[in-house]
This record gives sequence, C-alpha cells and structure tokens, in this order.
Amino acid sequence: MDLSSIIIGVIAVICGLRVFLTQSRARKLLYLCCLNFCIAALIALYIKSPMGSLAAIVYLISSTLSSNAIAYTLEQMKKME
Amino acid sequence: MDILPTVSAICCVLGAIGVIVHTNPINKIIMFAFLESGLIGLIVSCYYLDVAIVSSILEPIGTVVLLLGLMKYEVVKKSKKKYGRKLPILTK
Repeated sequence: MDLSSIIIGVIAVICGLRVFLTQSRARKLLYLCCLNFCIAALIALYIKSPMGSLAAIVYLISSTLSSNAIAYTLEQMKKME
Repeated sequence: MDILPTVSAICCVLGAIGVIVHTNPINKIIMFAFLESGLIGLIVSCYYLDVAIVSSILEPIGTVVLLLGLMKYEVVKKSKKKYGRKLPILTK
C-alpha cells in the first residue's frame, strides 16, 4: 500500500466513472486511454519482478492499439454519412 | 486490501452494466474494451503473468474483428441493393 498506488487508484476510479457517464464518444475514448495507462502503472507497481514490467509493457502497447482501432472506425463511420 | 484487485473489479462490474445499458453499437464496443481492462488486472492480481501477456496480445484482435463486422453491417444497411435474405436487427 504505497502512496503512489493509492493516488493512481483514485485517478483510475474517476476515469472509469467518466467513461461511463460522458455523452460524447471521442471523449469516452480519451478517458478509456487514460484508464488503460493507469492500470499498466498499477501492474508494474503490484508485481516486484522483471516479468511484471514485461507484462505492463505488452499491456500498454496492446491497449493503445485497441483504442486507436476504435477511434479510426469512428472516423470512418462519420465519413460514411 | 490491495489496490489493483479493487480497481479491476470496479472496472469489470461497471463495464458489464455499460454493455447492457448502452444501445449504440460503438458505445457497446467501447464498454467492452473497458471490461477487458479490468479482466487483465484481475488476471495479474492472481500472479498468472504468462496468461496475462498472451491475453493482452489477443484482446485487440477480438476488438478489431468486432469493428470490421460493424463496418460491414453499416455498409450493407446503407446500400440500396436488395439482398435475398433479411438483415438481422442488432439495435432498435
């Protein structure tokens, strides 16, 4: 229970609530990306070994890819109309 | 009382409620990605690191497949061509 873990956890809970409550779709993507970064930091702080850092790196890259794919599809749907 | 399992459980529960409540397909997929983030946090909190790495690599593939299906559905719905079978109704 470090102070840094508590601070990142509070930020993650706030971002999760804002993903749930915001109406605009682009803003939802922004808060989702922020929450993914928070969880990657919590993984690196929770496991005190090199394997934990590797898992955090892989999770960061893949979650960013997923958010960018959703954003690209949103742009294509806007272009289609 | 650790901080990572707590935050991940909150993300999982909120994501599941959001997938049920939202009606727009893109909002549903956003909430699905939100649920997956909590899932990986719960896997890591039980110290299954290799499972978490493989699951992290495979999750964007599932999201991309869902998005491709959604784009194809929209294209078919907007085109004026008459198809033989009726389209399935995803949302109202």
